[in-house]
Amino acid sequence: MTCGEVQPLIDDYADNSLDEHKKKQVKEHIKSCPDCQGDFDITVSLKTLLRAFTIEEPECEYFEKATALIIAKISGDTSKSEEVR
Amino acid sequence: MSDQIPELVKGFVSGDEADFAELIRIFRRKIYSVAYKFLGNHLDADEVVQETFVRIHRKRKELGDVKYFSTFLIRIASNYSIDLLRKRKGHSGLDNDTNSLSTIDQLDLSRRVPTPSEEYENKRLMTEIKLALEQLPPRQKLTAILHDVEGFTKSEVADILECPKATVRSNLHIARSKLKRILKDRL
Repeated sequence: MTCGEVQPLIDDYADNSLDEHKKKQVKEHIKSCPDCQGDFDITVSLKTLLRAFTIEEPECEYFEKATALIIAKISGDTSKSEEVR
Repeated sequence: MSDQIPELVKGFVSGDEADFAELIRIFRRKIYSVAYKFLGNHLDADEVVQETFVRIHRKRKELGDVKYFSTFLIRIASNYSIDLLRKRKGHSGLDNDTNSLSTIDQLDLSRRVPTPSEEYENKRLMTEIKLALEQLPPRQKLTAILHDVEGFTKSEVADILECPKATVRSNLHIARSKLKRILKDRL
């Protein structure tokens, strides 16, 4: 495979979503091509960074209150539709 | 836990409100996480969480045809998040808490303690990632968040965003190219 053929496949290769035949071809090419190896490494590095992206979640209390609010809103919806009937 | 879900959905569709409450408990953190990472602030993420479950409750009768409850739920959350982003666009400077490291602590000020340098550095990194994602157009941003951050497969993302898998691949590729440029010093 040439670099031109491998480049569009690097994302899928990094995601492990290529079929076995293509995976093998890309792997073979990358082994001997520093440029494509570099692109692959950066893609994996980006994926690792994004996977590590976390937020500081609110305390459990927030989720309990939000759940109670949702259930209250739905009960309000249900009462209204019963009144209409 | 995932074994319970089909039974809970069945119960919910039949009108069991206790099963619906349990579905809220199972999925609320995921919805909050996706919404917060997309919209960048607690108030909007909160609105998405509430509106998503209210909407899915209204769509209860449609769920009989829905193969995967979780992707349907995330779809509702994603669509509402995109609508909210469009609505907020004119107010992004005021409503978005991406621009300050200290805003990450504002959810509970009573927990503020002197921060070790590693913790500070980690928060700094999280802010950089958040700001990088902010620079993507909505659909690319959502694709990157759903696939690369939240770990949904390309098929699941295609189901959530109601687009072909090829579109997901294309948006993901473009998003990653942009993020590589923006975050090059971190890679």
